[in-house]
Amino acid sequence: MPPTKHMTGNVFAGYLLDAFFNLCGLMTGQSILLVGMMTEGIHTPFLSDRDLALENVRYVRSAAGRLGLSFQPDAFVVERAHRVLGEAVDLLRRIESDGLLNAIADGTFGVTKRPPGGGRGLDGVIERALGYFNPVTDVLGGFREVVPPGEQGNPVSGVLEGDME
Amino acid sequence: MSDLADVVRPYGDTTGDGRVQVSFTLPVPGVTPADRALGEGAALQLAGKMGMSPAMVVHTKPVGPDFTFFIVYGRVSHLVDLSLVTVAEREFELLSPAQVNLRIAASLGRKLVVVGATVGTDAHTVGIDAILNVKGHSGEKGLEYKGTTPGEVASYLAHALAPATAVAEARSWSRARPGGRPSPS
Repeated sequence: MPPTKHMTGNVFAGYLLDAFFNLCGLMTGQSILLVGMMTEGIHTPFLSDRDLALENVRYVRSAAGRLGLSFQPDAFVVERAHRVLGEAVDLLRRIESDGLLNAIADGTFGVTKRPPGGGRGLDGVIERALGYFNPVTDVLGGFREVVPPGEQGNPVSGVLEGDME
Repeated sequence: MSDLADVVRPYGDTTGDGRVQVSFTLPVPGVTPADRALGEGAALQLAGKMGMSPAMVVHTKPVGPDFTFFIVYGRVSHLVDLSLVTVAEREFELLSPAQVNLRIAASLGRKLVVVGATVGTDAHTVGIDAILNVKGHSGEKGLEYKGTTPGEVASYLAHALAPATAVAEARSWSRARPGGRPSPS
């Protein structure tokens, strides 16, 4: 039975709701599936509402109808998870012995290579002037300036530290 | 004379762009490319008559051999004058379940038996279930919640048989103990 309790006049949201309902019905192997229509409770479904409802069922059935099988022991998902996690551990071991910067230079992450000497260094980075003021960081409250003792009044030497409160 | 501020038009992506979306089915085939082209032309003609210009058919799907479903996006030329809008007032006060229960208890002194049936060729089982049972629709609970006892549901009932069936059903329920199932007969 479709989820009429949650159906409103928002037919677009209703279509999504019916898809989840269809997924539950298909995954639990219901032999009879009473197909929900997006115009439930509005009017007798139009021809197109019925056709869209069937399209919904067909899509969910072909895309995820056998999803439950994937979570049984020795299923594809389990085998795949073991393989991906195993490869991740191997990669971390390789990075540990090679160094993180070398791994970045080799394009280990996201293919793009970033060699240690290929950047622009401090070009374009400007030191904060005396009396630097940024109201945005104050408002956001995420960072506060930590000034080491004995260097009060010289904001340039300050470091940023995450505010953990 | 209405104020300019009272005039609005649909908002799609920018102020006053008048963009709307409609979907409808036409009784024309849409299987072959030629059918499809004719159907889309027909859809655009309808959109134009509805005040949509320019209009664009963004989805065309045959529904069986003789029908085609269209989704059309377009810009409507019509304006809405807010100063001319009339608001229909609810004729009857909307009661909460507690208020309904109170009225039934005060005037009837027992549960109210509601018998539901559908007539014709469409079973409407989902709709009748949503109306009569606690499950409800759109967050509103069905009549069962409101101090009533839902009668058994009959579908596909012939029109002529409906009144007699309803009376028999109601009698069977009122013979039952308060709030209980009807006695087997």
